[in-house]
Amino acid sequence: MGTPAPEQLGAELREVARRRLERRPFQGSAIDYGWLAATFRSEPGMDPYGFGQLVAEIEQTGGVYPPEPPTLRGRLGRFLIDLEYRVLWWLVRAISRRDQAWRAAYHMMLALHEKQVELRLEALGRISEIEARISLLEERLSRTKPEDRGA
Amino acid sequence: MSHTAVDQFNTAVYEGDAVGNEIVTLRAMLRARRLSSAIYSEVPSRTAGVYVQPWSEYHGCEANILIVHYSVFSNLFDQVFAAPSRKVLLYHNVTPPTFFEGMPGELRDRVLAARDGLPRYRSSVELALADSEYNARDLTDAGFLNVRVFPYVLTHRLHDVPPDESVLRRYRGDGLVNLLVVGRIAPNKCIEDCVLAFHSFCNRIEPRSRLFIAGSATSTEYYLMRLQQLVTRLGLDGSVVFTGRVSQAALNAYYRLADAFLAMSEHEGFCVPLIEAMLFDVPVFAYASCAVPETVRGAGILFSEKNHPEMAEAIGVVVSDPVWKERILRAQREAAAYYSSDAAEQRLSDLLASLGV
Repeated sequence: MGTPAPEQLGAELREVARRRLERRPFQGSAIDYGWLAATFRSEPGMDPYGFGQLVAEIEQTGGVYPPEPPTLRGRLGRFLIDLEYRVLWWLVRAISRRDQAWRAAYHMMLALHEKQVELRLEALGRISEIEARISLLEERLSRTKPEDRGA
Repeated sequence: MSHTAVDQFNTAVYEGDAVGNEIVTLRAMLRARRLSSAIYSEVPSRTAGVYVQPWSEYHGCEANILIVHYSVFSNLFDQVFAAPSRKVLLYHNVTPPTFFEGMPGELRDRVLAARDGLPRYRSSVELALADSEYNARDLTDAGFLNVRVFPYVLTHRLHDVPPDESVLRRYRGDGLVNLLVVGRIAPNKCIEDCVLAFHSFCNRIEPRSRLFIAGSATSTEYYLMRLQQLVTRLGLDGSVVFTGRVSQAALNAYYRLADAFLAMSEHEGFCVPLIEAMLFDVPVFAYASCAVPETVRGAGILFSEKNHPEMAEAIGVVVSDPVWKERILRAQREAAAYYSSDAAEQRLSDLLASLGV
């Protein structure tokens, strides 16, 4: 089974789409989708240990039963787990509280991380402003006559 | 029934999952030939009305054939490949681990183990099958000698199961243009690109539109959470519907509702939903990565670059112009015939004949 040759119809439609796009390049929005996609894909790099995934799993899988085949063993297993769940109510509560603590820790870290990024951007902005002012002052200074500098 | 059993093993078998559907369909086709056929996995389950047995219940012998499906690593592989039966590997590809950055250990470890472990089993199998030429190259690179392409076998339930009426009632007739994405919510599927293309479509072409994203996010909950945040950031809440894992009936309903099908995946060994969309007469718009061009066999609209506004414009042309739509659907119907039940039956007969069954 070889790869089929590119379909002419597709090429024709893409050309029509391209022409329409050229006629109204910024209609609707001028969002840079390529940049948005690249940013989205680079985010997981900030979380190399998968803390976010673990917390998301905790949020979505609380109280899920293990596989339950339609056999006597499966039904018995379900009954025993139900029983265990009720008997160990105090332990289940402790586990839930621990899950909540993990979630809180993650969201606190996320908030701190976002704040850090925000502050870094603000600091970079200020540094740029100061550098621009220094350049301006240096330029003015260079234009000033040497005899006036002492005055 | 014949004395030869043709059994199958997969790490786990789920309904709605592409590999799971193929396993159940192959079992039905084998049984229709009066061959004994059972399914085994790490975990017992009931999938599409079929009991999946635990591997511990498998009793192979040299006269029997065991088809081992290979996509995610199983801790049982060493035992499975050492079974006394004649073994056939059916390779569905393994997603590169680079797509699992920011994921905790288990999933990434299984993917890594599956990629690294593949060459280890080359001497244990008498035949290695791949669902595409693209996948076959992986097998050849891993040192497998007897490699053959065995295209994916579509589930009969695609036609047999009527669409879920509750889904149709909820979304049909409100005049919205429906775009559809089907597949596991996983980073290699690049669903963020589908959301961005949809945003462009809403902004430039048709504000009264909706995007359905149908697929499970098991083990990728964090990726789903980030997608939901992106949807909110783009102001698309209410226009994007994450359905989660859906039944075959519900999936069939979403295909019926769809005006266009989107796929922006950057790694695909085959991509079954492309064929399903073609069979449901939904125009396909896809990024031409890996096996995608081979799967659609020249049909559908493929893009070699991810230009979201250009894709939105192309979708706009097709949903608004019946002539364009019909031209595309005609090409898709011709391509989809390659995956028909008759063709699949013939390919299975040829395979069994080559194995002397």
